[in-house]
Amino acid sequence: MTLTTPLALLGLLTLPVIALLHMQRARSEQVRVSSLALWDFLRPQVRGAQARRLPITWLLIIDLLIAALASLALAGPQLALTRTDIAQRHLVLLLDVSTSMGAVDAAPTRFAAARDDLLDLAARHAGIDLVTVIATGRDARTIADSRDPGFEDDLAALRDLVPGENGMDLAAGLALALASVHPETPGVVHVFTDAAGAAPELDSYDLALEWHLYGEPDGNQAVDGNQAVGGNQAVLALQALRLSGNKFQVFARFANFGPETVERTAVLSGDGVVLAEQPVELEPGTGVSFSWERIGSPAALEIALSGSDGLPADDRAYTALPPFAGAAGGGGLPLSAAVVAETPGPVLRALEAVPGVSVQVVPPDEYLPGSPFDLVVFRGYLPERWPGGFVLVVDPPAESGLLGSTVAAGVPSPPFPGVDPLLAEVDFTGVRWSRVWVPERVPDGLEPLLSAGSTHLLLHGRTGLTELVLLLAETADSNGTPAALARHPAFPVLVANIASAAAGASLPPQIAAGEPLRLPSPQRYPVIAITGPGGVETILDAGRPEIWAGLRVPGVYTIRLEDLEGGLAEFALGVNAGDLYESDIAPGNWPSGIASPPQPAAQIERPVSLVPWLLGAIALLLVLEAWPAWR
Amino acid sequence: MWFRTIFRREPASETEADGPTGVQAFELSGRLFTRLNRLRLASTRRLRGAGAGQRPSARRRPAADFREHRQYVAGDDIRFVDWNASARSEQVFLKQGEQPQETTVHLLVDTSASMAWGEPPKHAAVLPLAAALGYLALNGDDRLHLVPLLTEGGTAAGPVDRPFKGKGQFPTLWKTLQGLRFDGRSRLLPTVRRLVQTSRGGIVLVLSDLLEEDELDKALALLPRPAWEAYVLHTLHPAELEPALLGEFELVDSETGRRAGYDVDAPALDAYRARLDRWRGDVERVCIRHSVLYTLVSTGWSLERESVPHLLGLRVLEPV
Repeated sequence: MTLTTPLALLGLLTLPVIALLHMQRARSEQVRVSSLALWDFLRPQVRGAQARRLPITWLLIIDLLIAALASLALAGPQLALTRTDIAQRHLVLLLDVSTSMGAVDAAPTRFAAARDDLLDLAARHAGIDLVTVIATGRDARTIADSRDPGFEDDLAALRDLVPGENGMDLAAGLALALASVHPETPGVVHVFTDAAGAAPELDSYDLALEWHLYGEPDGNQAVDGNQAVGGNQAVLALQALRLSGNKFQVFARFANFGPETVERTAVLSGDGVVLAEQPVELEPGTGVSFSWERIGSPAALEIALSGSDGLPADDRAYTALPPFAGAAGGGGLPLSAAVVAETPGPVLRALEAVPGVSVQVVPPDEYLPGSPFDLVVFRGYLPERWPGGFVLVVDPPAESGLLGSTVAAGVPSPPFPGVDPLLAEVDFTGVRWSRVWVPERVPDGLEPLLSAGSTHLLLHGRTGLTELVLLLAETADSNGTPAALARHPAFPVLVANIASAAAGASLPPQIAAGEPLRLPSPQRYPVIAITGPGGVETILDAGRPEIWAGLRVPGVYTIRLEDLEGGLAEFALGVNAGDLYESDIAPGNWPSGIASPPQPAAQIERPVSLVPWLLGAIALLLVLEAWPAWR
Repeated sequence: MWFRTIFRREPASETEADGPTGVQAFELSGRLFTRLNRLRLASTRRLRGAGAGQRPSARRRPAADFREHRQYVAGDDIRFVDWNASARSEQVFLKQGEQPQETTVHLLVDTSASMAWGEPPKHAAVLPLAAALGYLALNGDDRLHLVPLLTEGGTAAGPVDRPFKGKGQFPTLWKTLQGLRFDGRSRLLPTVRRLVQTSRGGIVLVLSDLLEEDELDKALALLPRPAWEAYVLHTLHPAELEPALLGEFELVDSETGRRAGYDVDAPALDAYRARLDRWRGDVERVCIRHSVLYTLVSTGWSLERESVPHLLGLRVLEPV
């Protein structure tokens, strides 16, 4: 037991004072009797008035107890309940689910070894300590907690978990661990990782950390046929571009993260048919690129390195082939655009010229904010709030709730374009700028892409769920007569880039494993069926989230869209594990063992204040003392 | 609160006051007087009376109530001559019989300070008892003499010289009793000495706690039978019989004011009770030696339900 204010024990000095008061009270207590003659025989037992002993009465005992308990309560006694604190220790088990955990230098894989150790640790502490399991990849998420009723089932589900996320956000995992631990409960975080990547900075982290590292410093020995080679090689990039004349072009980049030169064979195939075989010689720590041009129209392309190495998952890469020639991004989705304007002007013609884009003109009074368009162009009109998705604004009105009032201004100097995909191949040389709208305020989140001095001509950015492009230079007058900018060749290229960006935001040809995918609008495609490499189909209805993060296993995914009319459209999507950081499976200079050892259980004692109990006892004694008087 | 009184015994209801006018004492209820009207103080025939009353006498006197004859002597009242008996003989006979006599009842009341001790004080019970005994005397046509014991200075604690006669004197008696002062120390011997100087005999009722009384033997020796019939009613408080003391106390004598500290424990209480019994035994032996009836009357007793039946059982009182 400990005392927070030991000086308060000086109150025990009141005990002799109370005893003296009782003695004095007993001394002065006089009782009249009819005659002392009846008591004279007791005279030999009479004690002198100065030599009386302390009268032991219940009242004295109660008074002494009250004084002693009050002094003790003021001293703030605390009792350390060790056993309770042992039971309330919180173990947070942080499991790395990044792609590199699939390396085979730990039998059978780093991830499997880490998962088994984690399950063993959880089984040993479940029932004694609180246990929380957090998976950390591109983001962190709690997958099991002993405070939940289905904890055992959640732990068993770990057996089905596979590593496949490019990137490991350890900071997010540790933050989630910190948030899951009660401040008064001693917490220990066990991190199960291969330590691939940069070492984290943990100087100010509050919880005790214990590291469980997996993987050999040089990675596993790769084998090509019967020939053993060293390190890990990976396909870092695979891109396909549809060309005119039923042709397509494929670009691939390979890298060697091992310590030795290796020779492997790259096999390019389309829809399962081998299109090319290319010997690849990779020097240690270098990369090499190849491109192929083939005839045909396969939906999906795959490139694979022969043999095996430390991380088999990144030996293959997948991508979809864009269905339209000239579509720079676009995972195959046709673009649905709407021009909301009284007079569409030249922007309508520019959009109609973009392959794969279907344009619809919507008068402002018929426009509904929830209309299912991939790209909405507002000309001379702005809604009360921005719709979700991609939005292009040209020739904004003079008065708007979104932009405030705008004024017309000239361009004082030639514009200086920034570096952005929206301005790719856009050459403003020779453009005669007429008028520029200067908004009262620039919407939050927008950045200038094109400026002339302090006058912004083109703004781009995100505001809420809207990706907004604001073209402030005049494209046409009120009658729809094109301005000088709209008559320049740079204008349709700019519009095409914007359309391409809008299409790319809908469905990409390939993504990294674990990367969240922005799904097409549910208003246009209420049902989406996604079939993974193993044939597992996931149905997402109209209530699906805008972002889906279920693409963790590398391979070709088939995405089937069902539109409002019941029409079906099927597209391919490649999910790739190869990554500049994930493929480098050599562990980094991370801490190991116990970075900050947890306090021994005997010292992790949570003090329990005894003051309320003492006050209760004092109240009870006061009642006992007052009871006879009350009666 | 209701539960604090629910188990409390309701006090006995006092009946309407059908006793003597002006008597409103708690113990002197109409029911008590109804009972007292059927009782009288017991006495022997040999007790000498002064005048006519209701008490039987041992002496034969010429009377209409014939018991025996004797020869006429000169000076006898011829109204009591039995002419028929005289005609049958040559002598003149006089009818002789009993003539009820009165006697004097001396009520000696201890007025020392110890009689004012206790809760309620002892005199709260002794005064109604004295009033009841006085009422019996007045109701029996006896002469009642209220005698407060003299103090150490030889003075009385109230008016003492006027005797009471007749039931109509009871309110005055009660008022006199209520006027008594209970203070200081009182002495029985000087009081009895003065009593025997002024009276030739009668019934003596001593109501006293007899504390600090060491001359009881001498006092009772002055009251010999048959001229005197004395009763000692030893009035003690329940707290004197069973003191509720335990611990260390400074005891103060109610009469002398003397103080002394005592450590009273259970053995001491047992010794106290033994000493009290021994003392009462000594007093009773003194009384027996002088043919005086001794009895203890607790001031905690109810006058009607306990004290009067107790005295009736001891033949201090007798039915009419």
